Amino acid sequence: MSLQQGCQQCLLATVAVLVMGCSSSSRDGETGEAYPNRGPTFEARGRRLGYVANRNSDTVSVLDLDAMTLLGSVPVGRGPVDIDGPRHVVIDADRGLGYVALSYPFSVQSPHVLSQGGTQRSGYVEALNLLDLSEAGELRVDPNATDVAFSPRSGRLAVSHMDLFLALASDPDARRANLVLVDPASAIAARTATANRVKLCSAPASIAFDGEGARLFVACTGEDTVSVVDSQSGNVLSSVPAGAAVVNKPYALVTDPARDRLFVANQVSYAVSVFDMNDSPNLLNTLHVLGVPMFPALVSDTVLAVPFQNPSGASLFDVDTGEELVQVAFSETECANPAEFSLTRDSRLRLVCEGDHYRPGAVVELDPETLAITARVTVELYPERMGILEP
Amino acid sequence: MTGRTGGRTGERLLTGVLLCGALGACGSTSEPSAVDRGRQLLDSATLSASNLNDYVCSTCHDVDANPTPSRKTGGALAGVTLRPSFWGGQEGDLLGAINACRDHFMGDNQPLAASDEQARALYAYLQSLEPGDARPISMTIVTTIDPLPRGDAERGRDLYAQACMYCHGSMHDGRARSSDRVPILPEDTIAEHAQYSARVQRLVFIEKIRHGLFLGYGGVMPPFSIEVLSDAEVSDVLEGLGAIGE
Repeated sequence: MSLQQGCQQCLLATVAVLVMGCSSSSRDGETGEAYPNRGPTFEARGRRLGYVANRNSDTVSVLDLDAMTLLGSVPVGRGPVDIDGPRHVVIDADRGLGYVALSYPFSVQSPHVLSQGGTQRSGYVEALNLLDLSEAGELRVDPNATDVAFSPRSGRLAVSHMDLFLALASDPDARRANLVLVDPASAIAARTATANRVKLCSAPASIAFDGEGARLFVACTGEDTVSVVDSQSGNVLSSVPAGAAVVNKPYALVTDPARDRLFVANQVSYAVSVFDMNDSPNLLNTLHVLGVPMFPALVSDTVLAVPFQNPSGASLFDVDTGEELVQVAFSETECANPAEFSLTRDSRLRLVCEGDHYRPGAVVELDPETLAITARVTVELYPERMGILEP
Repeated sequence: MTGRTGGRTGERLLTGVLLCGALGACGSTSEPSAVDRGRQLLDSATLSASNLNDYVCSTCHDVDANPTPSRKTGGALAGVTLRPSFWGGQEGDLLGAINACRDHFMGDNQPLAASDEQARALYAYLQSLEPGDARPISMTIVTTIDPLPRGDAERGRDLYAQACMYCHGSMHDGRARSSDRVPILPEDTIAEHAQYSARVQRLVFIEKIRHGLFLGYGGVMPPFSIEVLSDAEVSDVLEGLGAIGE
């Protein structure tokens, strides 16, 4: 190669370098990955995962329930400043989605808003991708969205609104809040969902489907009743007293379709009413609790674990006889304001502890026979319930 | 000779053409780089498609963290591409954080996708600012509005110049405010809430500073966190504005 030829090749190489040098580099945003996802992901990989909505910190915490460890907490909601108040995550395992109700608990504390008459903000239901809790879609519902229920069998979703502003209306008919039915729930993620409103009762709180997702049981706090609703037509099939006391104040409500049992926790009568799951439920027994009962769970065919607050503790009851088998008290550091028991298929028992709503709450694991706490995971502010994804 | 001369002439011509072409491709054309486009976007209202948008990123954000505390409501941008969270931990995705700004303050609720040209250019510029400060920036929102004691008027006037004047213009006449839609302080805001008692007027001023458009108020103003303005400094601003309310 002559010097001249060498220079020509050198020149061409230089030009090539110059041209390449001004093409996109990895730092110019045109060829590299812009906005790489640095958030946590939560692959189940055969594990049981728990999804806990933290109402006052606008996050959902994800737990490995087998190892009883916190995998991470992710902010959810529609706005980065507003307190969206996520309440309860229900799991659509087949579609890899969770649904969470956004309640906006502080929307009428503003002096500006109050001076204008206290307009309330609409609630929302958000569909979340369970893998990373990113938003997959949303649906506007009514103010004070409270509980959300999902039926894997029917694919339907329901939202209650424990609206205490409506409940103060002088006209009894105006006190009734809507139940929102969404069929199918997956339409929320497809952004094609319609909210079908059923005017139901005063201050409906907790809701739960039957096994087929055909009927919905509703704790009507403001009317002291339990209502049963056809989840397809929205027709109210029945409304029965929530308990045997003169005033009961139902709040938490849980169904166990396999055992044909409906449990209603009453906050004034300090009692759990045990019903069957007929269209018009029959009261079978009343379990008298030391404190304010919350969401119970059956730990065997006949033994019900009941968390209670004020004071914080829990009991085991024989649901047939009403006998209290075990009662334990929890300290503030163990489990302040116990809220919801859940039993997974491997017979392990967990309990969500609300905390005092200003300091973090927790999820604890307990011995199902003694209710002794064996493990504890701290989550964030004001958890109440846990959605569970089982393998 | 001729051939050789002609050959050299041809080589020189080729060299010139290639170099000019190469250099021309590099920078003398009108096509700016993605970093430059992103830098321009940062100070351009075109990041929002809304005709009503009066704001740009630098309205609320410094590029670099100032050695003295900035009174801008948003965090410094250098390092933002490395931060794990935004908006005081309430947003985990950078593009989500940008889209929240576009939606709430800039009037454009159509989110940018990561593949959009504007989004990519903005990212290219923000990435060019690395490393910056990759730590999350605290942003504590005062959710409950309580009455505040009287403050210091002189300090309040200084704080007004640092924190409020960029958008609201000078006190009492709004000179150089960012838009005719931005209220002149305090007169326009008092007039808008004339039906309220003096006590509630003071709470409304505090609320507007603390919540901005959020938590049920409305408008386009960002919230001042406790880290940017302490309660004592909010008292000073109110005093500087002329002892708002009771």
